[in-house]
Amino acid sequence: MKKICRIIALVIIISLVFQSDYHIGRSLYKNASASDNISLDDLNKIYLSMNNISDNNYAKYFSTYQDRAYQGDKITYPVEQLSHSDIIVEEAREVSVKIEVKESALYVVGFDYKTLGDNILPTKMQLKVNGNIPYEEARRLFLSDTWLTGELQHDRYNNECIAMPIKDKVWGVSYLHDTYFLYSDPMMLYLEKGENTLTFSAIDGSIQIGNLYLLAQQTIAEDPIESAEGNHLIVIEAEDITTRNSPNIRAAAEYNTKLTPYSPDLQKINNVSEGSFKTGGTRIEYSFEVETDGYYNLAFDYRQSLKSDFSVYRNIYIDDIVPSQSFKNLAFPYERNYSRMTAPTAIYLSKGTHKLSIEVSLDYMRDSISILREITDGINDLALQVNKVTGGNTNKYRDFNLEPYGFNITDKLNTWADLLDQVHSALSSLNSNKKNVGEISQLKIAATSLRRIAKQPNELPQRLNQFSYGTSSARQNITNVVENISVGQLGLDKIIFYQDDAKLPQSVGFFQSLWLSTKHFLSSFTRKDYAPNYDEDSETLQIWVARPRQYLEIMQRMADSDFSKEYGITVDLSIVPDQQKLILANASGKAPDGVVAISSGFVYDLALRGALVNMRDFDNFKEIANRFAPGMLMPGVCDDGLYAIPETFNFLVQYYRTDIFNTLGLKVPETMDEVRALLPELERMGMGYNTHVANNLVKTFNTTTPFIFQNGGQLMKNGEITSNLDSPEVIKGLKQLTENFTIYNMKYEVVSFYQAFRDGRMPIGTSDYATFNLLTNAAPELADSWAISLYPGVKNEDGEVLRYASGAAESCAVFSSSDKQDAAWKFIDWWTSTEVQTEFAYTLQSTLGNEYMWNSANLDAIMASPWSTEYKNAIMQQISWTLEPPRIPGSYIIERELGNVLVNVVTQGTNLRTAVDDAEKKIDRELLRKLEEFGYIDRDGNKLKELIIPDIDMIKEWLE
Amino acid sequence: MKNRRLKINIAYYFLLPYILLFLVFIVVPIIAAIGLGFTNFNAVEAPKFVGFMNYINLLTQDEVFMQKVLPNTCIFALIVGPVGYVLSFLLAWMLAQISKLPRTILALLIYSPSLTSGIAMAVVWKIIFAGDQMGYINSILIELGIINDPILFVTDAKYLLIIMIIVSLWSSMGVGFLAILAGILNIDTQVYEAAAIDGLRNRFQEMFYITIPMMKPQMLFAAVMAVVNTFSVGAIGVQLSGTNPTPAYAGQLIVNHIDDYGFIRYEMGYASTVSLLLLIIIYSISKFARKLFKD
Repeated sequence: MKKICRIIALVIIISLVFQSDYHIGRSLYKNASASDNISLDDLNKIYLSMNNISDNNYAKYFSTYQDRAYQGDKITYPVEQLSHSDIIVEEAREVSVKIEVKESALYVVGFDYKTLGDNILPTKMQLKVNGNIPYEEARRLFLSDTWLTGELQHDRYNNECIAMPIKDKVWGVSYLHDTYFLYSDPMMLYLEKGENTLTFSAIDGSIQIGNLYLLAQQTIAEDPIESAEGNHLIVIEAEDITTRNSPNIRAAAEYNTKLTPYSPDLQKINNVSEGSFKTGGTRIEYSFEVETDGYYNLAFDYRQSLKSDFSVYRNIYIDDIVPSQSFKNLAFPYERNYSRMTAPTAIYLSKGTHKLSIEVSLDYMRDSISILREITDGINDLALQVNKVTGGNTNKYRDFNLEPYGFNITDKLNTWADLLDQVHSALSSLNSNKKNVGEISQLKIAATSLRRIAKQPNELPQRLNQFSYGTSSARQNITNVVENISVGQLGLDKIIFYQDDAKLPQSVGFFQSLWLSTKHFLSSFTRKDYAPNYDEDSETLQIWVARPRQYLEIMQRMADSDFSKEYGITVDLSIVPDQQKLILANASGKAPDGVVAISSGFVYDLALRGALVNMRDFDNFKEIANRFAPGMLMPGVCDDGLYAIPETFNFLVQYYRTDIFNTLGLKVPETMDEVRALLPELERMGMGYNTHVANNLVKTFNTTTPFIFQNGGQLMKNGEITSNLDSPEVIKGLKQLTENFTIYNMKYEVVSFYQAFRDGRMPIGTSDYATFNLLTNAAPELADSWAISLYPGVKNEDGEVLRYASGAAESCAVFSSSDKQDAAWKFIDWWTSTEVQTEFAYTLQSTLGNEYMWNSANLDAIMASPWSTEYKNAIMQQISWTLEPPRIPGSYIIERELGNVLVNVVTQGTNLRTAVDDAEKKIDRELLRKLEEFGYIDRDGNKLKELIIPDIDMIKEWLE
Repeated sequence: MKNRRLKINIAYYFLLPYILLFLVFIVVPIIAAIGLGFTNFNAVEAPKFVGFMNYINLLTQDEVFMQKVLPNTCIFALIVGPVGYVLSFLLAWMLAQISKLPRTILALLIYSPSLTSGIAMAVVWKIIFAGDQMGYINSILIELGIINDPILFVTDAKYLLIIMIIVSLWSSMGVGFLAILAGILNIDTQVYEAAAIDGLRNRFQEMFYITIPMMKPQMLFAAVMAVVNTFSVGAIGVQLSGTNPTPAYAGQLIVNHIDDYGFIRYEMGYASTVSLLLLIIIYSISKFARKLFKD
């Protein structure tokens, strides 16, 4: 009996599973059949026929004017006719030129130009025709810079180092390209007959403009049918880059036996790093010598492992001309390790020097990206509108009837889902029609969730997490695909021109590869690059650096070439993985001479116990300390000495989404009161305000002191050794801080503000430098739609808004046990100087990529840093408001108890006064104990020596 | 006579590695800790002798220790120790009832959490207990309509200790569990058969009258291991809340307290005092366990 029951149950379960599976399968099949065989041209038509796409983008512009394209010869407007002086376009300065056009037509516009700026970020420019922006893309046009490769250098361990790119300011010709480089053919302009005014202005960088050209669209030659007869061979090692147009493309060293050159124990630069050669429009150029005229095959040793089953595309130019049609958008299929691919047709090369250019092309992705962006915008808008109705209510048991509001949810969602299927089908048809291409599989997931939601449109408010918010929502899935397909990573080892009878270089065989790998493994036991040296009698200056190896390589190279030459002191930089090691090394008498990049909170404890040298005793102390904002020096102050100076800094500023604020017509708050006034507005739409307090699990000084200082509070009583928590100002500050959560209902824990900011769930909030870096480099879809304003402060009696906030990050210090204190000080002097910090910032960002931003504490170096100018100004203003709490013996207990006040009031519902009293008692007791330990008072509480509580005025006095 | 002396010598040689390691890694540190316990040592300057000052401070001044750390440790140990112990016995007993292949697989699965270090464990649990609506538990509770606003599981002082206990129980099936499992499997099946003939009526009688009495040594071993473990873990609270001290000392255990004094306040002398106290507590409780399981 039991058995029969079990079998019946099993059958029911299985049939249920199959049925649902069948349903899903059928619906997928149905959609697939509707969207089979979509080609790229179809996508373009689909895109142009979409509702609501903005009228002024280039796709529309081009389709309007394309039958009136210019057919004639190239027309040149010499620079002398355009202007009587040099045409120099700089940031915030418009320059107009007038040209006489003989025929109304759609022209390709070209101009000679020379870059003048030292910017690392690509030069960007804006173009207006007769006072108007012709199409959206013209707001930001991309101009190629030319970067030469610096001389190959070796570090002190004989490894090859990445050569620093050098910007070359030469004349070149540019056409109009959008910043994403979705159009690798130049964008065109429709010019009416008669006089036309072209207005240029720069966004980043500055350029000089020369002759102007109007020409017809170029056509590319047909593929040749000849084969490459002969036995000539030209091998180009891809890492020997002649020029490139972005410093972010970099050669790299990889221990991969398939690569040449390879050395099992030394680092050899041997390939173009796969992750670095990806952004649309970036280009590598090689010059090479041809000995005999003739047809040549072109082969690449490449790797494309980051896009599974998905090709990336490159345009190949020989002497700036695409040789034949196969070389326009040449596909590089998925390859997990380095392998060889030969282009389908041969190229004719004449004897002499030629230039080969390889350029990232996104032409095939263009319409997909445009369609997907339209969909994500649509989802965003719909979520916002729905939230306006529901006020962000996601309660499961609250029913909404959304029909009367005319959102057409079902229709919209189904249309979007169909579009997603069409895009998916078009993109997979590019990749030999594979059914499941990993790179774009998220489109299928997104389409499925959209269809599921479309069935019950009234449940959308509860399903916003699947729809628009969060990491697994349909919108995020689509955004991820857009991000994936708008870059095309490609690693290159060799480029080979060969004729059919030539003997091609072969990669190493299996056994040799095994042998080389074993040798590499064995050598890893003996090599000690950048490991700390514990030798006390060492002749060289020992500096420990708490940073990863990439940073050290550059620092060491700069120190060897610059510092050692200037001062005649050799420096050994070593990596300290763990700061606790400093304490232990010091206890065992093996401390280094100096240390760089230790966290600022760590310095005081070392200084108090006499492990560090007072920097005020050095001659040129003032000159060096004046490089920083005075408030930033605070963490290094102990008694009346300064024991550390800052190296990097942090900042707290307010980030906000300009797009959302403009749509909703909201004002960016200046003070905390205005923030609170803004909260109901945001809350009504289901949005929130992020405070940096919610991002730190540890409630350190930087979460509590800004509120206290802004309200005019002090942590310690003047001239006494008791804490000052019960003063009205401090209470006011703490009240403001805690009421943000208890009364104003700000979120107390936000795991990722970056994600919430991208989703639009939190379109505004205070946060730190890390968020700045993430938003700059890891949120491409937000480019141009966020901004920075100062930390919202408190208005004082004079009407001034006090915006004090923390800003300490990492510091440099000299150890008192060292016998080379002067040399160590010289090193720190050199290292924190404006020139060296600026050079380091540029070198770091240009050799390792834009993610490696350098937040130097040196004020002049920040001004000169390669960051976007629009953000730099706001950050600089906030830096002048940097104020760190003073450190005294036992200040950790103040930090901790202030945090506990916050925790107890917010999560336990304790009364603020009670919590503060409790904290004050604990602080005072611990302070007495600590002061006794360090001999400031005796057992009975009598003063033995004066405890100096540093304040900003004292530091300012030192600096004068 | 001569022969006998040689025998003793050989025995010592065999003991030598153990004695050496025991001396270097256990005895010397304990003696050093006892010595440091009477000093004021800040890890940078030389230690200063202060007599019983640290002990007096511990008993009279250390409010946090008396109000938070000691109660927390007791609650934590009283729950995680016995409950974990009973759980590992029950699980081992149940596993012993099934056939070999599934038993091995399940035993491995149950044992594996105790192998993962605090950090790896906390990463998993942190996502589950994350304090915004993206955390698994919060998301499920919101989905079910039980709560409207996410609960701050790991930063709210109310919940932290409970979560620490849950996570520790999950990972408490360690060596003790394996010892019990081995003990149960080792019992001669003939004993059970004989008992059945003598009139044993059910499995529970079997467990109480035969299984437990037959495997006292393993039970003792598991008990001592459980005691030592519950007192000497501390990383989990710090890892979950991301801070030492834990918010409002809600999850502060003795080990965290030692860490706090040793590496945040740099008072190695005081930290040695507290660790000595911990040693005494662990030692006396395992003595007690030994009494319980010895006839």
